[in-house]
Amino acid sequence: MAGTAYKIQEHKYDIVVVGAGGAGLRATMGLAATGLSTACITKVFPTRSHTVAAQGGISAALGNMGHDDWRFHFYDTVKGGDWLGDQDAIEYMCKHAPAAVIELEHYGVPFSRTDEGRIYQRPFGGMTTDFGKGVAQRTCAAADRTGHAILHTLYQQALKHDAQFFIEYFALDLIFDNEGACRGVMALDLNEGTLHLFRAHGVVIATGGYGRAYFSCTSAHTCTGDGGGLALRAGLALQDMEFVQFHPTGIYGAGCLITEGVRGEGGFLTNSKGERFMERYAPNAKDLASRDVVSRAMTIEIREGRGVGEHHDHIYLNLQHLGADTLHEKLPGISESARIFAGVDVTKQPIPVLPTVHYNMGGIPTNYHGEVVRKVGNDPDRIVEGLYSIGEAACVSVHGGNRLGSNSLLDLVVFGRAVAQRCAETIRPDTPHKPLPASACDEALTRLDRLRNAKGSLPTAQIRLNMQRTMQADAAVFRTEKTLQEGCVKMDAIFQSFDDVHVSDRSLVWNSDLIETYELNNLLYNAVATIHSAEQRHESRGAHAREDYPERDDVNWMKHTLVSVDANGKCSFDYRPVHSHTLTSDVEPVPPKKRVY
Amino acid sequence: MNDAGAAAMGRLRWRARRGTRELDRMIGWWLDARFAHAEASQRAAFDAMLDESDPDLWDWLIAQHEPPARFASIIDEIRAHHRL
Repeated sequence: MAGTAYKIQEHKYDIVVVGAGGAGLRATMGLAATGLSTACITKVFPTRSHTVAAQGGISAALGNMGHDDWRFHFYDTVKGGDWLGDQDAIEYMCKHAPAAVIELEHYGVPFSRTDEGRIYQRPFGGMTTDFGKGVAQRTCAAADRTGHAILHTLYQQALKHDAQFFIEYFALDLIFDNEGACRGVMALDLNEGTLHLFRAHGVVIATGGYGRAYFSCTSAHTCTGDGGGLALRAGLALQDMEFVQFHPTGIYGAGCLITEGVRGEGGFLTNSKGERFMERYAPNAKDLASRDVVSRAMTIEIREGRGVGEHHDHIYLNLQHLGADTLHEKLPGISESARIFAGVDVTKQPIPVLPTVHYNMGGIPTNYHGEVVRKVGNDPDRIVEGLYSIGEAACVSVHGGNRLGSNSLLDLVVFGRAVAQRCAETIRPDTPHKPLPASACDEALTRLDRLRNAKGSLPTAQIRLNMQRTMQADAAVFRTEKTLQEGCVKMDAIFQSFDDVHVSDRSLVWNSDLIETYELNNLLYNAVATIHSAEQRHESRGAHAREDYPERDDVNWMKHTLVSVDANGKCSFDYRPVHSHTLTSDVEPVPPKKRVY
Repeated sequence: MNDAGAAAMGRLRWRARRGTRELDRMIGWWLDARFAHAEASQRAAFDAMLDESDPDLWDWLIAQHEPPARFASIIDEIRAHHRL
């Protein structure tokens, strides 16, 4: 028995949060504030979470720049998600957005101001007034440091409320009791190389997205879908994994993001003829149409031979007309990003850009309280006791088939707050912990032992590259049966090739090779779930664009995909209905119609 | 490399992971390309620099703000490599 060789240090808390990005920190702070003993375990220092990259801002219908209403925001989000979002959850998010932003302000986030001293709000793609008629200015920002300001503020607040942080701890596996309730997590202290069992009445998964499953993405190295891996290995299903957002303006070659804010400030896209082609695809919103629409338009332009550059394989983003002062003042860092990663002077030349993987709409299915749900028999909403998920790791689902810019930070804080409130209602502080079954940690320890001693023939980096190239080629902006099926076959083989992985370092102290291998395993689970989910959805909706099924099919496909992945990478499918009802009578449900911008 | 050396490199490699792709690339470049040949004092400075916040690192790299003197030579090398 492998377990006998490992000494495990046990900790007991009321609740444990895995991840310390915006969602994890907001939950940790809220949980600690309600008097629950709360631990937050995170593989990187909290303010180095990928939330730090969110510069654009956070949406809320404050109406500071003119007429606005949360119902318009609700409508935009339902439409932006192409009617795959759950309208009860969307109502919850948009209605609570103003309070959530004001709360952040009170905690100390230094939002940029108007001359009158109110929070400044800028336009963002897909955000409208009067149900699509006008352009909304709804996105609040703290200069270009919104993400960092939120992380920093929430981390300080969480410490103030005596939350315990375990920093540079990597979550290995979830721990369940005999009734199938999640009762903790096994983690490795990267610094000491020691194993820690965090026992709790509940575990909140807030581990972010899995952008690194793709070759070209805007994500940091750290975005490895650890939560999806934890959930799938525990036998739970993930939801809507086929919906992967490509951001229209990743720098060609480097993948680094040029924020949508530049189009909000007047930047526009052109093809090789110098044409502002978005006018043809989205006559009203033009360059500010939602991300999936812009990414597809760019891909079509390139495909029809109107791409720019030597290989006609990308598009230009023009900021030359904005002037150096505006760029410097309103969009700091953009000129430098363009110079560093594209070698261009934005006051004189356009930036070469390409749609680049940016966000995962899919994830661990939850209700609007952040409670993880699974389908049992005819009940699609059965709660998995003790398990919660929020943020990009989760699928609430507020973003449906496509997320609107600046709705991500909102999702983090609204549902981070919601999960804390829910736990405060359902968990009594200092409730004694029931004994765990003797075998509860066996699987986690066996896996650790196996990976640590993996002596196969394939380096972790090689398997990762194979996965990234396959996902990039076959689960791209446009998808079709033939390439998807080829991609599924390739991904299945790559998943299985993990059995032949080689880990060179046997140590447990700062063994980056071992941790990257764990992360690779998490990525592989997410990747195989994504490409198989894409293959089985025979329609086009939101970010999922099928060439062989170009239309949305509400009769057959207005439902959430549930995908389970077994230990061999084999995927199986089930479905949950979309919640087309709202939470209250404060807002009317938006019936499906064709999505035009 | 002995065990302690491997752990020390593993620790730096982990901490060179930042919150953004931009910094992953720029900071990671220095670790890969320069660390092995750097003076002990510069190595120590790099280690200390990894404790700084991502927006501060970025502001120093794009010359929005002056970096603290002990990080200046590392920041300059990264800037020069990226044609800044």
